[in-house]
Amino acid sequence: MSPDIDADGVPDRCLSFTVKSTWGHFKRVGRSATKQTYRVPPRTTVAGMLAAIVGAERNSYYDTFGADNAAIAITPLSDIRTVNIPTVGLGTDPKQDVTTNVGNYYSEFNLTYQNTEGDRQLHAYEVLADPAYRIDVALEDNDFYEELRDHLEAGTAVYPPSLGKSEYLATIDDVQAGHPERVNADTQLDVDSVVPGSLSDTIPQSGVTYGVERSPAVMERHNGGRRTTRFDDYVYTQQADSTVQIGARTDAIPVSVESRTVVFR
Amino acid sequence: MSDRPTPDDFQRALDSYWHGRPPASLEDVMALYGVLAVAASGGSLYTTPSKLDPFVDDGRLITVSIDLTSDTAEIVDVDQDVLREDAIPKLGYSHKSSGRGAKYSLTQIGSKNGNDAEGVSSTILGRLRSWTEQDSVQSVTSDDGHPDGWLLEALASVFEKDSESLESLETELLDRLPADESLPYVMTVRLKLDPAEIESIDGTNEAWYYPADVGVLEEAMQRYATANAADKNIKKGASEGHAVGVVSGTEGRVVGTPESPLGIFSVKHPDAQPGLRKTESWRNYPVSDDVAMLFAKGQDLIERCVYRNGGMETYALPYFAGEITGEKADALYLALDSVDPEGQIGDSADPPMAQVTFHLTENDDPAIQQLAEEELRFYTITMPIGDDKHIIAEEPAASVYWPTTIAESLRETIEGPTLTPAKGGFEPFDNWPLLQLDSTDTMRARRLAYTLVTNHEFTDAVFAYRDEEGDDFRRIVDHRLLSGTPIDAHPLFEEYLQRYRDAAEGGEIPPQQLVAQQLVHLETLSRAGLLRGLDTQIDPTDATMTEPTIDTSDIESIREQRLDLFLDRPLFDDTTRKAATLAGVLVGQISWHQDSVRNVGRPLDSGTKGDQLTKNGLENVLTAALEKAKLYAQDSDQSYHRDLLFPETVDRLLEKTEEMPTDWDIDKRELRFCYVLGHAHGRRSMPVAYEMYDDGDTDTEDATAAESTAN
Repeated sequence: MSPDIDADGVPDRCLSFTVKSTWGHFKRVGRSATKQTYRVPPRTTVAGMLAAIVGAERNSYYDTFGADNAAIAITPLSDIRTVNIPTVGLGTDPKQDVTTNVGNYYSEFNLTYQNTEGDRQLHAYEVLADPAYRIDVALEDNDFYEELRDHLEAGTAVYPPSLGKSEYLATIDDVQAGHPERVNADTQLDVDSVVPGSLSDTIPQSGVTYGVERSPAVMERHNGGRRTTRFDDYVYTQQADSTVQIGARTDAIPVSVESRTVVFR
Repeated sequence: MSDRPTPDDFQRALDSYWHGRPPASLEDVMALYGVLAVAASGGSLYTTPSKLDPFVDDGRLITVSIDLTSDTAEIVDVDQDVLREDAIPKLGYSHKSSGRGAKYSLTQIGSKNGNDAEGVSSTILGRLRSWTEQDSVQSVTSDDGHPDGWLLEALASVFEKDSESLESLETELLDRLPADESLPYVMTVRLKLDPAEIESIDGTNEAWYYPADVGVLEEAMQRYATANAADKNIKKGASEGHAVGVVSGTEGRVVGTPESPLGIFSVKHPDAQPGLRKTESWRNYPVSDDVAMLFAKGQDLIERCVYRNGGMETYALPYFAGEITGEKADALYLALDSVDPEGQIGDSADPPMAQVTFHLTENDDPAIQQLAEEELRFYTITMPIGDDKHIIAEEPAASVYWPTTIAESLRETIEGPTLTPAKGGFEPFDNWPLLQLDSTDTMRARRLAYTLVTNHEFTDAVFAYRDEEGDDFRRIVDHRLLSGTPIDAHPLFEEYLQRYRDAAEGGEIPPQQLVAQQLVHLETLSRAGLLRGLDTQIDPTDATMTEPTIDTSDIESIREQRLDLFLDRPLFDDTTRKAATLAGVLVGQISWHQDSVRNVGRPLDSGTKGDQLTKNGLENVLTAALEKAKLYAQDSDQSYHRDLLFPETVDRLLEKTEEMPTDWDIDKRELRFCYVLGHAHGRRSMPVAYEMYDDGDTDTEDATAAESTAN
């Protein structure tokens, strides 16, 4: 049976697992020449990773991870640290670096292949070092959810999950099924996961550095491609062992999963 | 606008163009600056009425009246009059500053210096015609255009090249305007329209409408003004679509090549972006057309926040983390507007971040002070100056807490025992940024310290030099400190020692001030709680802080007391660290003696490079130093006190350990840093003692004379 997600976006059950890799790169929109990463995987990236595990076709799974029928919470488990890594590679721009010289107009097949003799170019990637996140996910799409659970529990995947780039293969472990419980607080709350909302919802703590970012959250198919239909702001802390402290009267609805307090979105 | 915008002006601009969320991304901050700029320039995002100021009263307004109520558009009148201030709002003028040709609005202008009749009929009228032909203007007639798009088609037919209507208009203008007098001209079109047939106007009866009153003309103007945001660096087609805007959060027209004030987004280099389809960029980076315009408008304010130094530029863009109100926007604008790009404090550059911080935190208005304390954040980005827009470090929400904490720790360190010779510390020095805050006033000293933290000098004074290649680690460290991320001690020691090597010109021993600065740096980080990887505090113990003035009647005793006070910090609770430091002190003392008393050409320390020191090397130089200490004492008639030079150092060394350095268990970097630190102290222990020596009648001559008794 699949979880039921209430009007506040709180599911009655969920799957929890840890995903980690040696590096991670979640390319930020709005940056092109400079390749920078979000500190936390966008909700859409988590959707894509889970779709890879299940083996869902490209463009087929956006509705499964909609605003109302999916709930995801992300808890960073490692200190958030980035490193700029220079990479050397060939471009793949068809006009500049890729040649088509096998086949012609009359051929049944044309082969496009890369000219490997060109000058290598230096591209620096900003990557997360040793990223690890605990993901809690609930999906109302029963088939997808059960298939996902089967794969997670069996430790299998149709396409190998990775953290952003295919070379940053991810490992998934500690899979648990859980029942989120709402947490009531009178004044303030310590949340382990990233918290949707703005810095102004947080309570300053000594020694804790909050960061904030805005990344794609929900997407849809559109004219042969896709487009984002919702972006989320969320607050995180740089240190894995510190929490986001929020007042009890913010919009975020904290729930407890395992021994953590998280906010689904 | 000569009048300063008021909080109400800012509130109006926020209501019109701000999404209402607190800023959460660089794009949000850029858009916020656009809103500030709009409020400051009169309140409109697209129209630029102030650009017509030079034409008012001195210039002429030519109004072409076109009747569009019948089947065929017809020019019914051409009128010219003096341009009055009150006519400006209805013209809906939108200035295009780049390139030649048509301005964004249907209303066009000629030269501020004036045009003659020929110029008006060819140039200005040509711009009107050119406007109707713009692809972006014509796009309102397309499927995803505007219901009143036909109106643009009608206008285009009136102004069509070689058309009868255009030619008669040209003739009319030549007849009516003075042929040999140049006047500044503004030319507009008014349209007779039937509200029943047009959606984009308000009214009930057929009447004359000016460009600002006609929705479809406004839409066309906006599309033209944002055309570049959809087709910049795209040869064919444009990147635009209908989607939820990344900043606006609402659905509408979005563009995919918006202005990027920091130059970090473009579709210009497909080779750097594998698989980039330029015309689809709006899908990943959907920016609503209004926000694209805000980005462009905010550019000047963003440029006020940059600090350039050493081949790098650091943007520190202030914003408030909460809901933005008219008052907050006003305070932010004033702070940005107050930045003096050439600002200096003492001999140091006063970077925009420091100026903004003090403008707000020391504001006369207590409400603004409180706001600054609670909500002021900086979006900081560092990248190389130039075309390479590679971002080296970035921090989305740096508060003033950490730089203030570091600055205060720096001030305490500089004013504390570490730089007080009478408390065993190094001497303060002018022109060494971390060795003296040039002020006795605490507030000013804090400000000076904050400036050092924000203008990179805090880091640059002690870290290794960098060439221009690659990421400048010093800037990465700056960003980490701004966000309160602790720095690991061992990489820090490596930087210190590398700088020590950089400073060793031609094999010379680097100046002791360099090492003193490094101790100040290390201690400051420790005080601020931003040092990790060492099990202990760096700052002196409380006993040292409160120690009464030392007895200065005897050189040996001064030396001994200073050594004890210098060593009285938790850093030296560790036996080997203390021993390594004492070894450095002794080598420094003996070398000074060789240099100053015995005129030895190559003193002991000249052959020992602190930054490359090994345990073996230390053992050799220490053995030599101990031998020399004995030898010189025996050799010298004046050493009647003991059978050894600098007995206090040797005693403490032997008290600490009888093992030789090759048996010590200590990290290589710690060993080296402790050695150079001790060496810098030891080299100066006699000179400082002479300076402090008080025999009732001290001046430099007497102090030097005292040397004979001291040895």
